[in-house]
Amino acid sequence: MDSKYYTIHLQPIGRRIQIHSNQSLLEAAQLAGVEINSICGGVGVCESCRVRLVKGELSPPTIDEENSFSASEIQQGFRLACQAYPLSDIIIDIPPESLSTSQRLQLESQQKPSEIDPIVHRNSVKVSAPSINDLRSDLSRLRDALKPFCENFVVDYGILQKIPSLCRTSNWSIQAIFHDKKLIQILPATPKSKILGLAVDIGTTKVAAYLVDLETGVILSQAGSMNPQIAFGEDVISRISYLITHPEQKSRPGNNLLHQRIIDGLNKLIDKMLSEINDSSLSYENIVDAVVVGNTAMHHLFAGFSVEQLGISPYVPAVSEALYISAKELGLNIAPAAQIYLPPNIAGYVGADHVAMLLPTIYPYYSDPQRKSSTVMAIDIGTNTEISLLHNQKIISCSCASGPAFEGAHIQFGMRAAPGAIEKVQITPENNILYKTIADQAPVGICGSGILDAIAEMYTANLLDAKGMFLNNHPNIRIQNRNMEFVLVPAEKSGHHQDIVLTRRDVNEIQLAKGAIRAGINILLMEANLQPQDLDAFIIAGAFGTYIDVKNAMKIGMFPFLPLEKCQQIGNAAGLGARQMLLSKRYRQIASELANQIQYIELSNHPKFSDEFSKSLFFPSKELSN
Amino acid sequence: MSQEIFAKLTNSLVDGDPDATFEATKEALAAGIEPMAIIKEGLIPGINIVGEKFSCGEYFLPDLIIAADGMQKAMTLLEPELLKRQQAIESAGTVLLGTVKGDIHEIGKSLVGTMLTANGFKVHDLGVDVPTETFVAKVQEMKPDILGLSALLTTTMVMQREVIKALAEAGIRDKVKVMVGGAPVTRSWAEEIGADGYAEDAMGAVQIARQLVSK
Repeated sequence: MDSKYYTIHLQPIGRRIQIHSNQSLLEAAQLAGVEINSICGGVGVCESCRVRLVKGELSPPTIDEENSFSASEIQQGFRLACQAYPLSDIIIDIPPESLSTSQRLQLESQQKPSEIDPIVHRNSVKVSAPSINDLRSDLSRLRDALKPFCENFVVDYGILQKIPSLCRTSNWSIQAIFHDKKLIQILPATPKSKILGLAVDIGTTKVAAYLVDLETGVILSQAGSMNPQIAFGEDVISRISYLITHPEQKSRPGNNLLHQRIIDGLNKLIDKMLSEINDSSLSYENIVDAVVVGNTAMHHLFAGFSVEQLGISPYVPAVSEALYISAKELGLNIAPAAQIYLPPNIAGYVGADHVAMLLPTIYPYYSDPQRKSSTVMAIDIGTNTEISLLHNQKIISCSCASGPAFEGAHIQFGMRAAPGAIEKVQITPENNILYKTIADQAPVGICGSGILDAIAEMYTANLLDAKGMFLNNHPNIRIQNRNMEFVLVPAEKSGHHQDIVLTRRDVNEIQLAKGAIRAGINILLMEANLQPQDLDAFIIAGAFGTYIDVKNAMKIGMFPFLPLEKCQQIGNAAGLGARQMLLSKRYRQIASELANQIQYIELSNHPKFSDEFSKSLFFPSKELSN
Repeated sequence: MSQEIFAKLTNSLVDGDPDATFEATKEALAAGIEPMAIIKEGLIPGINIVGEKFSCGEYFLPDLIIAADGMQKAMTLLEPELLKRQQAIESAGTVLLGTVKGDIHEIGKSLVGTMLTANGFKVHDLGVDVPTETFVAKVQEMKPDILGLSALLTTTMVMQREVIKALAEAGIRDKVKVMVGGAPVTRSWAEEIGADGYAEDAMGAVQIARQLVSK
């Protein structure tokens, strides 16, 4: 084989790596810190490392690959990463199912829901068996047995079909599970297995799911994955335009590929969580309730509503009120008659996930007579960043297109928060660069919190000016093809023997992202006629928001300068809010009340937006930081 | 002496120091340099260097914004002087500019406007979310040399095609040159929809606009 080096682009993660022609694509991914599943360890039998060739030339398919793929899949460029070697520079697409989920997906949130009063409840009864003297129908005798608990209930059609056989196999001892006044599940009374609820937060980039014991509120299992729709575009707009440009998909909103992908992805997460609980008395039939939150586009794609109108101003949702949809309608693999609850959306770009996020953040202030006059801002940082401000007992909200730069996208050495990602950076007064990687592995790239640190530290150390221009006063700053870059880790110390650098272009990507966020913060404050120092609390939610150094976020101007004791980082608040709604019907009521009373501020046509965004691109004066 | 001040003006824009631009403009006026010369010899070369550096990836949006800011600060001093002398800035041509219907992105389009203005074009900015009929009516009314259509979303760039169609239907397609731009817009898209010009960025837009008016 030729002894050559080729550049491999790994999509959609946006990582690039040089490998030798005798190294496989799997090795390329591993070197780049992208964790592709490889159950068999790279010998071509487990088929878990499927990738798709987008551009370039690879070694011909091996026999193992011919066995793994259909002729049409091979035609489409599908390969096993462990079997394919580059013959040129290569672009490959890694399907989400091939990505290992060991990435830090930020499932945990610090608080636990305290209120347990689910809309679903169960009653175990002994139904009297029929005899020659008792000829009542099976349904009638079930109704009679359940009379003390629930009268005149409606019975789901699928449950009707199940009653005769279940009553007999369980020897007439059954438990009936109601959603309010509808019978949605029957199970044998013994074993008295748990009843579970599913809470899901569908992010544009990541999905987090929880299986919760509906009677104790305990999280039995949780799982995260990439949103499988990423294959159709990394942001909401590109997914919508995929549908617009594929009319065969557009004509069937409830059945398009993006809808199918998210349902399939969630079903996989459900399987995974059930198998992790490892309790033989539990199956998908025990999952009798679900709450699903997401931004408006994710909500619509999940529920099977058309999203085309969300891609074009004035960005109107198809549905904004709270909904119940039967699991079987959507093909979600839980008890078929379970009623999936979708909380209300606020606007085209502020969805049910933001309503969910408000429950553990703003609502505790809003509902507390002692604190309801507080001024509180809550911000959920993601590919779309949503911000709400509570002031004078009113809530105003906006959404900023901050983009995926903090997820590592569009950053030369950017990567998601996976092992080997630089997550903390410090530049000492002696100009030494210190860093910490996730799992303390040799560095291969830099994740959002690391990029933010690096930029804040460079600015503090006078290596950057307020425009983001590099000042050529550090031995690690150099010019490559007219572009300035800062060597964070030299090749000999990195995991892939390449210099890990931060370029002016990378810095600019972060300026665009943080500029959008800060413009949103400023406009909400302006609308309420407030200054940053009027805030009593500043609550930062979301995956990225948990790990960032808040002080550094202030230094680069993403957040206003505030006393740190006013700032709280609370993790995945949308996931926590979804669990609160799963466990308490009162919280569902509250969600609707909040959504109704929120005043939405559209930023993109706000007269001050351009100005605020332009101003916010710059780094703030350093004197303010003291 | 004036060469020195021109260099100062140019450098202040390239370095992104609006206060220095303002001071150098004051200094130039005090030294008796004609306002038109200040613009042509001092400011335009500076803004063009910034534009070129932006095109080749050396400069970024903040650099462009701050240079435009410097230019604006200088103009607050120069415009009254020009008025006094009853001089109008020589026009390189007129451009009607707007972001298409359904799209409310402002910044890219406004930067194109700033760069065109800096290079002597007379720019009428129709703003964002501009209905197709408005573009047609304004072309009829103002008879610009060039119509610039901005679209920043893959979902709205189709409106560029609609505007070009509507111009043809109104029988005025040959009365105006149409240039298109925006993040998702490509040269092949511009050709496909029958636009006369396409540029990747604000500096490129100036060059295309010059070519289009000289045709």
